[in-house]
Amino acid sequence: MVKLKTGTIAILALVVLLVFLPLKLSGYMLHLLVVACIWIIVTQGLNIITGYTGLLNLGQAGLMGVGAYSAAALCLHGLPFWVALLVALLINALLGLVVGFPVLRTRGIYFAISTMALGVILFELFNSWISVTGGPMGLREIPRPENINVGIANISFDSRFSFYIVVLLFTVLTILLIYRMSKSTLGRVLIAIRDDQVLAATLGISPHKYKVMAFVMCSVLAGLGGALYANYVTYISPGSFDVMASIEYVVMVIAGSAGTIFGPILGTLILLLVPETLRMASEFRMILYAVVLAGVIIYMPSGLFITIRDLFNKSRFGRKVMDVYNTRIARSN
Amino acid sequence: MIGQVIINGLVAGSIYVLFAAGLAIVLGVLDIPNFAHSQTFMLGAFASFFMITLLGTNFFVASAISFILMAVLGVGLEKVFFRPLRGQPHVSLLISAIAALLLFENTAALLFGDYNRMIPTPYAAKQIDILGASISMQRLLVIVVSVVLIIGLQFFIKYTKLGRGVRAMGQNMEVSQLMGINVDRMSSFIFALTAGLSSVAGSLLGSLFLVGPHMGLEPLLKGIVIIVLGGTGSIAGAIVGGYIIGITESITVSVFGSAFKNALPFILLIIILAVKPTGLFGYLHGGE
Repeated sequence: MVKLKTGTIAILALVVLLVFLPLKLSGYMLHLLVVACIWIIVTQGLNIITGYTGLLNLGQAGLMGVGAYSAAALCLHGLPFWVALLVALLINALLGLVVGFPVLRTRGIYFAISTMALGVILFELFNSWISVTGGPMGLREIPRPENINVGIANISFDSRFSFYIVVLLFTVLTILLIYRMSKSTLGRVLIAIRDDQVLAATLGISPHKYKVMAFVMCSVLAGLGGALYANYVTYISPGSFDVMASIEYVVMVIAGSAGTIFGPILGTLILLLVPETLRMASEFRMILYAVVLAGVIIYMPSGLFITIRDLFNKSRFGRKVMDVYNTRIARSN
Repeated sequence: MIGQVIINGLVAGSIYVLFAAGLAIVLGVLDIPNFAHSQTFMLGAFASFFMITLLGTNFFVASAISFILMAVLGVGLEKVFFRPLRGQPHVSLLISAIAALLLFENTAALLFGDYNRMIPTPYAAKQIDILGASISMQRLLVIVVSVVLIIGLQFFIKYTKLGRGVRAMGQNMEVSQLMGINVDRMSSFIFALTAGLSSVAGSLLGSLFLVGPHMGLEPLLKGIVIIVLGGTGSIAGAIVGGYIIGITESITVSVFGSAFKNALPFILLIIILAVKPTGLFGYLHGGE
């Protein structure tokens, strides 16, 4: 019972904080929070394939771009946002399936290279399919979601705050989805494939089928992030979806700790907020990314979150906390 | 018209071959996907550019000096970014290489400014007619220098003692160590050699097209396609792949225009990998 209570209180406190704190924040900080939520959706998608399945995906920004351009183009042609979002997600799922089927036959570095190739092809598509994507000029004046009438309340998305609430909702749903997935058969199968594909196959698992499922989920979440991004900033251009952007997402996932729920969230928040609050020039930001990436991969290959967790578990304070926690659980049983 | 297209393809292909050969050797022998190869390429071009414009050095002397400078940088690159990760999976090495790439590229953009320049050479103005197509001396020079260097490299790998050592390491790192090859020193040597070659490729490209902090990306992407086409560790494969990509690209540009130029090799790449997941020449390392 004790465990349940503290857990519930912690989650309630977090929800209250996340919903009501932004009312006090400046417009710019709120903007950063919205972007952070969108990026968390994208990096959690990447986490499925790169973290849980252990395949380095260097095309995530391209997949995000597909969602962004589909939603934006459909909205500009007069479709309501929610319909456009649904269609965009379907397009991303289909793309994930069609591309994932051949590409997932490759492994290791060849998978990284093929997804990078996918990213380049998609980028060139955004750049040159001018009638749909606007080419290098991008798409402008993408409408925000329409107002919703729920009986008495009228929800308008003109304000940044209401958009934030929607994005937050999607982010929480994504995190819950990843959490449930990691505990489900699918998640366990993916981890088994990551650790030893041949062994997994001898146990009657079809690695290819599960990898394609993981890639489709990854693509859909990238598309969700992209569609929300397009309708939030109301302007998109190919530059946001190039190979460098894909690499940034990979850095966030790996620096944070790939294959955990909190790792990529931590990585995304740190790598988004630190450069922004220090007001770094883009070159400095990329140098920071480079140093973080090299440092993490050489000195703590499991990532920031796992390293901190292990240090905490080993420290005297951490052991004490765990002791108290364990005895409480024992008593409540 | 057709002659011009083929010559353009040969010029681009020569630079790609010179670039991809180094990439292929490092991947084939040391098992390192060295994406930072594109950065010694870029910095080598910058070194030549500054020597030629600021000191008035001859083009060949400048290329030779930047070869040496980049060889030293290559040794440092291997020591800092790859040696601590020896024996780790490919993917970790790839991430480390990407880190080195980001570091060099953005430091160069900060130091030298994020705009493009061109290396001036006295050979650019002279034109020669071959088979109805006109070609500038500089373009001819690019082809000749690349071909000479590639043949030299092939001879070196095939017929010298050091080259035999390189090949032995490519076959089996541990056994070659038992046979008395100093793996650390050899790794440094291979990085010095390939980084130097990439800097010559950079200087050559910079004398025809543009020198800028982001000039390495395109050859890198092409180089990756080439080694998937031609197989890792195989210089002959890099030659075949490099000229195929160069000429295909030149033909695509003249037929479809340049909008499609960058995407085509990658569509080819995905098709190849879909049919044969370990590259066209299947003796590549398993891909783990």
